[in-house]
Amino acid sequence: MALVAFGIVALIAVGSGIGLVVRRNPIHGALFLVVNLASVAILYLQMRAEFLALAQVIIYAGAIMVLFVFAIMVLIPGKEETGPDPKRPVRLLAIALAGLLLIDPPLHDLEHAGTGPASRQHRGGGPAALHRLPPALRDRLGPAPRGHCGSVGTGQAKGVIICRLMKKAHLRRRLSSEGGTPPFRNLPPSLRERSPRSNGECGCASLRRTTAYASVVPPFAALHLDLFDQPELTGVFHDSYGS
Amino acid sequence: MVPESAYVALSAVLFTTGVVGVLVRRNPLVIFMSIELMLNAANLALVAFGQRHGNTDGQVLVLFVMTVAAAEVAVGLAIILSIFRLRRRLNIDDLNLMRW
Repeated sequence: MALVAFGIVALIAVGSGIGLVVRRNPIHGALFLVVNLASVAILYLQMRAEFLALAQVIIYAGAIMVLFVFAIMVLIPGKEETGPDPKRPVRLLAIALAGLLLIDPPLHDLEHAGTGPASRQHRGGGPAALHRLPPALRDRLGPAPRGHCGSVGTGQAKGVIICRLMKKAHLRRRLSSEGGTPPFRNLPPSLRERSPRSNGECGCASLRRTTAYASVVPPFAALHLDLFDQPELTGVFHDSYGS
Repeated sequence: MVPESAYVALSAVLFTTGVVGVLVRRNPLVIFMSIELMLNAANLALVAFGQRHGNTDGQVLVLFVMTVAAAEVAVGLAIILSIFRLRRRLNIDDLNLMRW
């Protein structure tokens, strides 16, 4: 039985070694070498050298092969990360969403969702958070949430805000892909001073502001539903992934 | 039970494969990987001999070999990267810089 197992593993080892030598693509060679190292680790296990098998997997497959694959990828340059980036606004939006995640993790709220009023003190932002909002946004969100339905409402509000973020990013991407300059860039200085968002980097500051507002609104599970139920979002998704 | 000679024979086959890879390939990266294959074959033989003698000296030696292999890969890949930046191509036949 042990002899059969040894034969199978030895065949795999020899086959992958030959594959490493004969394949022209170095990436294929690296993957064959990973198979070879794994089969040698199995042979170590057969010889009752468990620690060596573990060290083999950790050091060779975990450290050395990562270096190899990295070097191969560097030496055979692709065009993925160079040149103009057509999806740059969407990627910038990812930074804003990551900040949202960092400031007010929604997992905490999902655990306590629906467990009654006692759980409301664990919430990241309650009605007190609403008072920190600017008056315009507070009016839009309505009265302070009460109970279960209220938190659904603020979750929806947060979803709406995120939808606006995504729509804004979509618009900026559309502008840049059509080769046009953003509006307000060619305004006279007097008008530029009057409007807070009319300086050259239109959108960045307001994106940051909107993210800051959204992070103080308590999150809820309905947020995820809202993100994909919003009809205005379909344009964003279809545009970025369809074409 | 598998005899130690089987492990040593497998180790010899793997080592020979590595030697062939070092000799016939022109990409320095693949040559490096073939050297790793040879080191592994030597490790396998060391463990097998340690089993035969009933102690763990072979396994201790294998740990040293792994350490050396990791350091060697780090330095060697750095050298290969710098050579690539110098020449803009990777052919082992170009690298006769130190030949007399």
